[in-house]
Amino acid sequence: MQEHSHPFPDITTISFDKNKGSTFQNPLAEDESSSKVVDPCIVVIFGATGDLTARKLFPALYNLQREGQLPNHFACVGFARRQKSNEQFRQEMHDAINEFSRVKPIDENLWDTFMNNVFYHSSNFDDEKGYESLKALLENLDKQLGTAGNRVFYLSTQPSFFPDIIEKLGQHKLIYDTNKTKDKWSRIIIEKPFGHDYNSGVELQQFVIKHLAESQIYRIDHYLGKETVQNLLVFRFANSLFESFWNNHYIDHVQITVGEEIGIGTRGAFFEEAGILRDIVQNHMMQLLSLTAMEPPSSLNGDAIRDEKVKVLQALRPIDLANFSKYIVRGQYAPGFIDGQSVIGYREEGNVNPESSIETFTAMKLYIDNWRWAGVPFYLRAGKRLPKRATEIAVIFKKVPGILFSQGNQKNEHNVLVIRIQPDEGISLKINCKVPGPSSPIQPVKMDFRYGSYFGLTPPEAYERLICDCMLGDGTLFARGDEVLTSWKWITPVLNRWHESKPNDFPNYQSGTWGPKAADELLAQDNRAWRII
Amino acid sequence: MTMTDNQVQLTDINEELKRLWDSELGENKIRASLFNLVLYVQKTERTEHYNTLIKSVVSKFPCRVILVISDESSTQEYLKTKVSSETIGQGEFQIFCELIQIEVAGKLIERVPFIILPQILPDLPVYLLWTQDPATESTILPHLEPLADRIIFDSESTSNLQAYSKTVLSLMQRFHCKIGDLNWSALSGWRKIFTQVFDSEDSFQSLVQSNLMRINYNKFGGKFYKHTEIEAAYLQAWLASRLNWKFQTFEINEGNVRLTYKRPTHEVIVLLTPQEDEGQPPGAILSIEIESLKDKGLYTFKRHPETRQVFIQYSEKDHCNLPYCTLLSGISEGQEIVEEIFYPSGGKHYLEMLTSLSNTPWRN
Repeated sequence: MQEHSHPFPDITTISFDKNKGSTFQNPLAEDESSSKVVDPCIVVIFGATGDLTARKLFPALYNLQREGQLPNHFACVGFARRQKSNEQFRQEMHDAINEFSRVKPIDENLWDTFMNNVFYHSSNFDDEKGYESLKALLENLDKQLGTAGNRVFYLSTQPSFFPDIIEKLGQHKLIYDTNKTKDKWSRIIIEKPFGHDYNSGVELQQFVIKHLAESQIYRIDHYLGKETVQNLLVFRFANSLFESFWNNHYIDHVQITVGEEIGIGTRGAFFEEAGILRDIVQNHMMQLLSLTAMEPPSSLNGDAIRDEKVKVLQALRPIDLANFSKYIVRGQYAPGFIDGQSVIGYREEGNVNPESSIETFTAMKLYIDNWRWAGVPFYLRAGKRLPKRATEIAVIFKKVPGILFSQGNQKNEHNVLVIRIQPDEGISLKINCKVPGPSSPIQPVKMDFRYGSYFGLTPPEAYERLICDCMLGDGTLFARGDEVLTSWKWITPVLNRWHESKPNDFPNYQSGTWGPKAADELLAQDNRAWRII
Repeated sequence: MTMTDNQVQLTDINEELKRLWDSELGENKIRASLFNLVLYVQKTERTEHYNTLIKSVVSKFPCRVILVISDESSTQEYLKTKVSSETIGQGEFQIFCELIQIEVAGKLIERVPFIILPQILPDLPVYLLWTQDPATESTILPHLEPLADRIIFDSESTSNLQAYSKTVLSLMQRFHCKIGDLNWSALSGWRKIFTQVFDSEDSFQSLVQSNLMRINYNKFGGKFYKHTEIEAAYLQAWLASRLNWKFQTFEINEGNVRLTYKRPTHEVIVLLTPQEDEGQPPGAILSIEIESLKDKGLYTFKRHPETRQVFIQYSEKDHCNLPYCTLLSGISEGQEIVEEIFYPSGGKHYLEMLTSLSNTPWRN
């Protein structure tokens, strides 16, 4: 019989450095990213009684468990001020999963197992004793469940609590010093907004890096967890066809829209502080912009990608304050109609000042002053109470020279490439075609790729991917400190200008329309128009 | 599924598919294909099983399916072609997929590659599911191989796992395309669990020092499965290859398999035991016990009889850890082929697992 020959060294010859802990190379693990193994860990959610925990975080954890992506040794601890028992908290999370999970109803067998690893810890966020007892609870869980001392702290609280929580976690040695502790890890996920302007962003960043290394900080922007946003990189850099046209030689302009038909709902108090510029533009739209405009990264390594994104933000031309209104407009919704139903205006919403000057809409023209994009305007608009929910990036190509097909009623239109982020995720391309028949009229037609049609599986929710990535220690889909601050640096002069000069025409657009007239004029001045979505 | 009642001429396949598309044309239907899926199937009672597989793939991903059913035992010579369509999805957007079925017998089998070629949608990948034992001489496979981006074998088709492994290893050298294996895919859930459970130096050392492994598998094969031991055989061979066990002996007695392997410091005994459980999928691994020389440790893995959960417990001579459970992923019927198409796993681990099996005189 033929002797079995092995390409690998004998396992007894592989030396294990006991001090290296997580650097252990498991010979059972395959190379593919799909088989990455998540270390045992505990996820602690601060603000566990909040909306985000019920609507997104627990359904995400449940679905990770359902798909076998959580580690075998895992626990989740909810940390919040309200008093409640483990049982109460588990029941609330059970109901939340049943209501909000992408896969319903809940699998009771699975839940029975999962809930045994769910705990609740009641304390104020600034209470020393609360952190002492949290530490004891976590150490006890490590012993019981084998979670190995690894921690993810998810800050799902109001931003004003971030410094207190981080400081207390540091004081109680719940955050490990990455230089000294190698056999276990601690990471913090911070929900947006990271600051409310450039100065506060810098201040928060300086505070955070006193307690944490950058590699321990995961600034979450859930847009980056969306499959279609991640597909932007694949679409751009895995298709030579488009990348060769992706520059100012061929592209006339770019339109990025983030529209919502809903109003601010119960978020009145929050929105009065934030406005659409902080809530949507500073984070989500800047991410879309930088992914659309970035240069190819040298690798798919997290820092290589984020380096390129930062370069785009650094190249943004500062807003021309002397011609401010030619570059940026703001709006606020008045009563109107959505889906045929009448809806109230922003100033009538709960917890909103009846004379509020907060913007619920903005449209702007940006330039990226680099070799690739010189002279190409990027038009961005975001708003509440628009006719429909739609997030998309439209790349409008230059027209062909008007020599051959410009007679009579010819519709020789721009080619338009649209990347739909949500809903109805997909990509479409508008091209000009000849109408069959003896004459040669031209008709634009659309080639359409629908993500859901081709890949019929329910895609994972953004939070699933992001929580899993954090547990794996992969920060690619999280915003880096310099990225956030560079974005604030561009946005802050606009915030200041708006703060100084209150609008005198608010509310200036009816709910159910595409924003104020000034938004249309912004493009009309350049002989362009917003696409009809 | 909409199927034409009558057979269609080979030359009329596209015309008939167009007619079907026109008859189903609704405002929101899309005719779409992500890839070509070609199945080459012997006409047996197992043919029905492959129809289930096709449905599983089409229900998730639109594709053009070309199903070839060949009847080598027939004394007659015939070539019958049918086309049908499947509309998937509900609500606003529905997808129209195309299925072409070719039944062929006698000398006409030789023409299969020429029949398939014009039916392949250009510019899309071609996945060939070859359901015959690759160790059996075939005049068709060498003709289809150049068309395929990936060939997926079904080791259920073989009665000689050693010969199967050797053949597939040799084809991996010869063929330009990647090779997959349905049973290897079906094992992915267990491989993931093992990778997770033994993902620390300490626990991995327990596995390295194991001296006895008992794998109980479901011998209930239902209508379609005869070789239910394959998943269990693959699992132990995978571990043998990852842990550098050297094959020593193989014994089989009334379905009970006993293998011994040599390690530098000790011998490893592997026992594969069939058990009948009609409630579990054919060939499913029901439980595993691993005894280790390290601290006299014992790992127990037990699959829940009704759910996808696996209970895991570890005990030593002087203490016992609390049991916990985890999920076995990717095991629903027909899921193997979807896994193979989109998450191909026939890499280094598969190659080394086959190498291990090819040294074992395995007969069914």
